[in-house]
Amino acid sequence: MEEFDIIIDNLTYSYPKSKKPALSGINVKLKKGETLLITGPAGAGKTTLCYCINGLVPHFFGGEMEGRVVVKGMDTKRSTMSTLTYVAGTLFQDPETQLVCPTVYDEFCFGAENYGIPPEEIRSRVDQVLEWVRLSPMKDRNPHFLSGGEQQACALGAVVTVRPEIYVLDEPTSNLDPYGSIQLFKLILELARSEKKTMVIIEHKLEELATLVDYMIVMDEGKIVSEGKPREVFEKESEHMDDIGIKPPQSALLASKLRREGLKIDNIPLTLNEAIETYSKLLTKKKSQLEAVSSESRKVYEGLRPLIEVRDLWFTYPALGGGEGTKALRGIDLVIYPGEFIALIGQNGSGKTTLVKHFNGLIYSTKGEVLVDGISTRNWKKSLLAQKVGYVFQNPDHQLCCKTVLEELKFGPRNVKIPEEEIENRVGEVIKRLDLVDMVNEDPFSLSKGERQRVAVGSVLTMKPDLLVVDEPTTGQDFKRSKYLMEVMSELNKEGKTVVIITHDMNIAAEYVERVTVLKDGKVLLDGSTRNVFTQTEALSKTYLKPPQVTLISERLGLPPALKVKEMLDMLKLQM
Amino acid sequence: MSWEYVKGNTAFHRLDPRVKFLFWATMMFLMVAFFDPIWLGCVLLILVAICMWTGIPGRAITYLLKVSAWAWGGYGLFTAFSLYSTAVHGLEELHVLWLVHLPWGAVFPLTWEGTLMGIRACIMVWGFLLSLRILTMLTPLRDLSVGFAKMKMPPEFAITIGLAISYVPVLIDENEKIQQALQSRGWEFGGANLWKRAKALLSQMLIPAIMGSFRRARFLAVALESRGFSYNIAGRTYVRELKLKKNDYIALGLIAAAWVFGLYSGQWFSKISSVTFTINLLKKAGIISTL
Repeated sequence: MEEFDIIIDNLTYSYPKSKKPALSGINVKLKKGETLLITGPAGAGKTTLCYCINGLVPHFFGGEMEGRVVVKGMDTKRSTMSTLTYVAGTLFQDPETQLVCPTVYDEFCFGAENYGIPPEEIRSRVDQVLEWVRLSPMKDRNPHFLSGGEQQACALGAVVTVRPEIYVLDEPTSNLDPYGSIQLFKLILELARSEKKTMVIIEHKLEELATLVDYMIVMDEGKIVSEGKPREVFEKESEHMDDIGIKPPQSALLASKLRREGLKIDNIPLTLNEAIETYSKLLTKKKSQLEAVSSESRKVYEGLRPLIEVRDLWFTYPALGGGEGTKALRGIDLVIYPGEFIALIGQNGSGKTTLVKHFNGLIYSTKGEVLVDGISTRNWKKSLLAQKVGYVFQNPDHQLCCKTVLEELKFGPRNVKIPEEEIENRVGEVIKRLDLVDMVNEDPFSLSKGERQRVAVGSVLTMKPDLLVVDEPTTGQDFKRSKYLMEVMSELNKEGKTVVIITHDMNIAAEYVERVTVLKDGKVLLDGSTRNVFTQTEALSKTYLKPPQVTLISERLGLPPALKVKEMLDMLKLQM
Repeated sequence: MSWEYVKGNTAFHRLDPRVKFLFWATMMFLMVAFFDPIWLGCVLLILVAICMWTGIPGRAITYLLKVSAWAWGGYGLFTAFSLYSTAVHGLEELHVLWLVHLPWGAVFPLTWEGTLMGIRACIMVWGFLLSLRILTMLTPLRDLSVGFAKMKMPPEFAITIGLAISYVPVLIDENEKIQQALQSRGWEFGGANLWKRAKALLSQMLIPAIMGSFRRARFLAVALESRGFSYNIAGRTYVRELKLKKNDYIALGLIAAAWVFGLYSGQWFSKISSVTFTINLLKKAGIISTL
């Protein structure tokens, strides 16, 4: 009989005080050196499954566990947690919460020190791993002040120095831009191959991982709904995945939609090259005949009075510990007209958040200025500016401060002394729009992250701002929730509100916004209509961003650029 | 990020973290031992000199004094006007500096002693802040927690302290974000009324801050557990090693001398450093005369 590294045998688990099981009837077997991808919408039980492998369930969380989990021959119920984590190193979703040391170097040593590995051995491992995750230059910095990507690399490095046999990685790239994600996936899989380590990876980013892993599991509501080799899973499930809120590679989704239209496609393509090969066979008509499909009427804004005018904006974060400070913005010029829907994109650290914080006077420029309605933000009264420009922070927890959701919604307008009657009207409207009826009397902090974010958006909407800025509305959310929030934003925009979102998700940007501004090193690299920006593949690659897969497919096939799967589908349907 | 380590290679930088910690404790001790503003002023001067020597930027200090103004200002004023503080130190002879006429006709005396005690209170708080600042800005935090472990404190305790210290900048950063988030919803943090400000601060900023801490603590517990912290604490190894060098022994000598001097001249034995020191100087100069 072949040895399995992980055996999960008919596992059912409920958290304490919870009536519904978080996992039910799970069976998984993984051999040494195999890689398993687990995906599914939020609340599907993916993270809980991770906890079961490294012993946090049941040892830390308690609850009721039935069935058996065996990790490297140890039954998790009968082994101590620290023995299990020695064998199965875990990287959690949010890297910041698992960094415990004052410097990167110490972070790397921490686990190994705990397991009593001799200092000499630790030193040599740490030097090696620092090089491997490219953090050597930052080894003396406080990990909490690294960029999201660097933090994730640091957290991974800290696990790697312990040299566990099994790696359990829960959304290891949640804070990373597309380039950073690919780099990290490469590192992880290099480790799996070269050292024959067993990997369990939870991810939403299927496009990048589809062809790299051995097996794949799709979970929903605590159960496994589909499993097998990725190709088999996508072959059967691409459309169903889209329905339950998982984002299959666009090439695969397109293929399954075409199949439903009656087209014969033998194998579902997963990569760009496979897609080109598959779809080029379908092309019969000329490009000119297809132009109409993807042409769009762009609204004309020039001539209108700008809502925001950014003039030669420079900003430097001061460094009190000596040194020069960080130049976050280096001469930005940007005009935003009323009614626009814009996505700000760029790598981690490119200055996106710093830029938008200038819009409502949270910070002021080192040089240059920002005008709102023609008046410099320095001359705006803060409470008035807060009614003009609403800003939803990336982390809703920084924004929520009241005892109930209702209070939360009223907080802003009360601050700026809106009459109570008017507040009631606004709150009623927002509750309806964001579907908050069931939770008005709840404590905002008792809600799920997706719900908290909705409340945070609502609490800004009751201020009735002309411009709504939302910082990374989709980070850490599954596809379904991201889509919901984007639909709300889109609706608001149609009603005339100006909306600016910051995002790493190119597919979301392509799907919803009409204008994209790309930042790189604190400067504007590209700015224009979404279609225009996403077809400048070369310029985009300078900032390591990649347009959506369908855009690349249409480009490589010599078709007019498609931004959405639906557009591509329409073009290909014309060929039938 | 103002808590980041200030790089440098002065003899102070090179001291063993344990010695630096003792230095901090000594400074705190002297601040409590001396009651005369001139004596305390001298201790403060030593601290300022260390800042200048080691390259701690002046703006870091002024910022510190600015944000803590309510604390040292309030404490100083309270002490100056409070008869209690002078009474408790058994000052039988009081010298009136100024008679404050209150609106309802009462007269309240502001004494020289009270004023000097008030000044002393301010200097003491500055000294507390500055010495803590010197400790955190000139000691890499990792050294400090290893230092604690080597001082034979239980590893749990040493690491907990290390954790707490390394989280301070994170919490400062988080608070700034919370403040900005509230501001962006029209909340005015400023405003002239100190009471309203304090109330607003407590009611609005504390909730997110506390909730954040709870969540963080839970995650931290998970993180520590999953990284083997409880695997075998007694058998834990340490990559960083600490050894006392010549400089450290010299510094330890100075520290010991400071304790002896502080104990002798402080409030417990000879009381040379009590507030009467300055009063006598002022008398000699003819600025105040006995009532």
